[in-house]
Amino acid sequence: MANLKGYAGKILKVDLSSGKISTIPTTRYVPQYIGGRGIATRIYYEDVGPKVKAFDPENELIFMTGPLGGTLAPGASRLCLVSKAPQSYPSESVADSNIGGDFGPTLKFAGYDGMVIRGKASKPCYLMIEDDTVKILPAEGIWGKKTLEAQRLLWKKHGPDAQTLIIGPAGENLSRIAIILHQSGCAFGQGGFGAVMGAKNLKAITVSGNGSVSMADPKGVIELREHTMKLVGPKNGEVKKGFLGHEYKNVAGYFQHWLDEGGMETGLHKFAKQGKAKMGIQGCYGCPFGCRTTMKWADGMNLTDGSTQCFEAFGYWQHWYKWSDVEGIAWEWNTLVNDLGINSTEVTALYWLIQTGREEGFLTKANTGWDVDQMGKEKYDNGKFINCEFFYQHLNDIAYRKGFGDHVAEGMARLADYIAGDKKFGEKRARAKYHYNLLFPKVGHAGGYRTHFNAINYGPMFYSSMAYGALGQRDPETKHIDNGFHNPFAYQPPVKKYLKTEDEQWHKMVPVLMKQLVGTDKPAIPPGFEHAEKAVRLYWQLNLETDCLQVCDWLMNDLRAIRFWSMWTEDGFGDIDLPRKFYNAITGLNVSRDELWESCERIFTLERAIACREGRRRVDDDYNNDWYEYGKNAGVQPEGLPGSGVVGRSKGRAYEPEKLRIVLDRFYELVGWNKDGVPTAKRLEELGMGDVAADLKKRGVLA
Amino acid sequence: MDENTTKKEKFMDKPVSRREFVARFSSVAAAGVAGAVMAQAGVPSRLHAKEKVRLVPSKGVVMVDAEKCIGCRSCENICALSHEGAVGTALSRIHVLKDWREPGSSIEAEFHPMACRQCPNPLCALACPVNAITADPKTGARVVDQEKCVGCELCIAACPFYPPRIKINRQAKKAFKCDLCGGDPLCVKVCPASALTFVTSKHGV
Repeated sequence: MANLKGYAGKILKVDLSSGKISTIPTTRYVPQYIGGRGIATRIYYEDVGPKVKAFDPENELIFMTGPLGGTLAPGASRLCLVSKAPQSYPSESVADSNIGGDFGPTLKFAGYDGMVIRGKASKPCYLMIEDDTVKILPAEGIWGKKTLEAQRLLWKKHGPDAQTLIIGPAGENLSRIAIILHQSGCAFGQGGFGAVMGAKNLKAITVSGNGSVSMADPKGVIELREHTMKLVGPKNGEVKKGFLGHEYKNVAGYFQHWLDEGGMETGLHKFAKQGKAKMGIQGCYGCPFGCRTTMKWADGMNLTDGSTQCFEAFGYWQHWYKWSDVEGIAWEWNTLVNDLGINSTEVTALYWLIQTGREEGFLTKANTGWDVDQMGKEKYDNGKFINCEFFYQHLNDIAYRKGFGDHVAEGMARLADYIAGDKKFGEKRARAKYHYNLLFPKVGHAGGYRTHFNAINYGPMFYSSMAYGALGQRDPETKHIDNGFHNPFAYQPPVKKYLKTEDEQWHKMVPVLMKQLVGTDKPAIPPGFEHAEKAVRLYWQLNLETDCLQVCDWLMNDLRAIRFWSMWTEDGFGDIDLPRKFYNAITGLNVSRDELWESCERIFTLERAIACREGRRRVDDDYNNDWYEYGKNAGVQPEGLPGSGVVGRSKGRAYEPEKLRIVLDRFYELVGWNKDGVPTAKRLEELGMGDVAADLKKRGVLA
Repeated sequence: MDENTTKKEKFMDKPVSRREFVARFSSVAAAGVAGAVMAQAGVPSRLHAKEKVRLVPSKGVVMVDAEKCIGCRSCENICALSHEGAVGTALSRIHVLKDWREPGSSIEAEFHPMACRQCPNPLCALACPVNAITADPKTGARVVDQEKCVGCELCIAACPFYPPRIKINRQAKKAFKCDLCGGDPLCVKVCPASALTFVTSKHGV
């Protein structure tokens, strides 16, 4: 396979302890492990044992691109990271994360499919890659700086086309909720990987690439791109008829899109209408869609220009403050968490704890040292920030680990434990654990990750998506496979217009999805849950397909029509084989759908084997009781919760834990795992991983 | 030539701002213009001991609306892929500049696609010592004859724009530039934001 196209051909290995820099051939892992998360997981399996702690020098940061990265495939910008995650709770465990932007493609153009970084530098340093030149340079002048300023310093030194990964003060101070940032808003968020970089004394990585990656069938790739353009929305200024006959006017940009479609209007829209801000669209490398919104402010706005995306940072803050009331504060928050290098998803959960904590009395000004009563009273008025003492103090305290912020920096899971266990938080302190449970429904190994939305309400809507979430190595709904399930209204406003009743929506939406996924019209929604296990298997295969080929799952899931339908095609069907077609044209392989999905299954089986090696079993594939109980009664989102006032999609559909367990039983059997959720030796051998089976036996994980 | 080459190498090694660039290379451009004047006056010069260059105007040009650009680099990608069968920013004839070095610039909110202007009097063609840059008979695009090109990079130094719209292929040691894809530029077709348009005129643009 030496002449396999679409890969740069080598993987960079850097040992920061010894300063040794070497490469290994990518052919060692392809085509068996495809690329991206597949190769990274395999390297993790080989290098990082179950006893290694996240902050040990032996832990590795494994960044990996895929064969589709940097090509014309839609959303080919991705870069995957696999490492032992400090954020996981109760014990650190393997997790993956993903970013867009320009870093991944540029790394490939520099000649590397990925980077494996281990060891610990004796003093703060950063890694500089310029094609064949790889250097570990001292981080003098940038260590201690916030992310945006530090990146500007690096661009001044290495040129504007150098791409950067960087940590902020949170990562330097080993916060378990620290991110690795690229540009202003692409972050390896969940996992706390910024602290792994900090523990290695590695402030940043820069890459410039002047090389190229050749394609097996360039003409085929260009034709596939033309095919892709039929599946996505219209170009600027054009009109296109999509699903349900809705006419789309705009290519993308979520906020723009929402505004055009009569959806949600945020404070930022108000600013734009008043002429105080100019909204634009931004896309990552090769993206025909552009989901990010750029903001440029009028003079006197006293806000940082930049870009955002609804579900990343400031969306939460806006949810929190009921969309339109906060305007400039939301933006300032977005900029500041990124600048300090904090995981915004975690911090939003903190506001839920503070909100309930100050109502129920377990969090006060006295025991936190923060003026918690001020939260929510901030104002931005014509360039001035009013009532913002709490606002600035809490974020800075988290990043620099001062006072109560020191405990928040350990992540919400550990914070809830701390509050519940310390008498100074009063009699009701145990309630902290209850409120934590509602937002962080997963139990056991690989817990400590909140849902993207409030899972109670937007929730996993099917037993299949519930089971899929329960099996994940990170947050439920990590990969947007079932994204349409939790909030089709917000995401695709036209639905509301054409399909008035919920029954009508199910009737129209579910067949498209189910026919494609499991070959039947019968939906796997509660109470019926037939075929749910097949859907779970497919979610995993489709998830790994995008993550290994390294394309944007957000966009690709639309184009593959696996969130109910493809909104830009009239019949609602997209092209479920789109990634595979690109894969074949780029590499010159001729892989069938079954072969590719078998490879994907190999990778999620390997991930499971690693998790089992680290102690995971079937009891960990579940949600907590508080969450189940709350879900039974949740109809309308209570005031104060993100998305308050929105009618809960789980209304009248309480989940029964027993049914989830039945789905999981069937799923284990379907994919060849034993009753305890450990991949069997037979299945591992079938997938070409006899060595993994032997390893599990040696460790006593398998009998 | 030695002096020019040294300057060029410095430039390639370390990206410079537009202002620095203009300051550094105005002398080169001026030398080119002066050379042309001297050539017309019949005065032999080192650069222009060759036939006079006068190209017919291009019939088309790729126009850029930076306001609409979403910074996705699809244009770069399809350009490299269709011409070289490989992807890579270094092989693209169009370049999306993302320069956020100054604190005033907005990270991720500013990108400027840079396409060849197909100049009426192209300084790159003027600078070429072997007349490898000519007007394509069909489209009028200024194209590099790969057979003739000697890879001296004088054209790159002569291009008055930053970054230069003519580039060097480091492997092949040949210059390359936008050829308007034979009259149907793929970058314009692929752009999802309609930021690029192909403007034509039979009288020349």
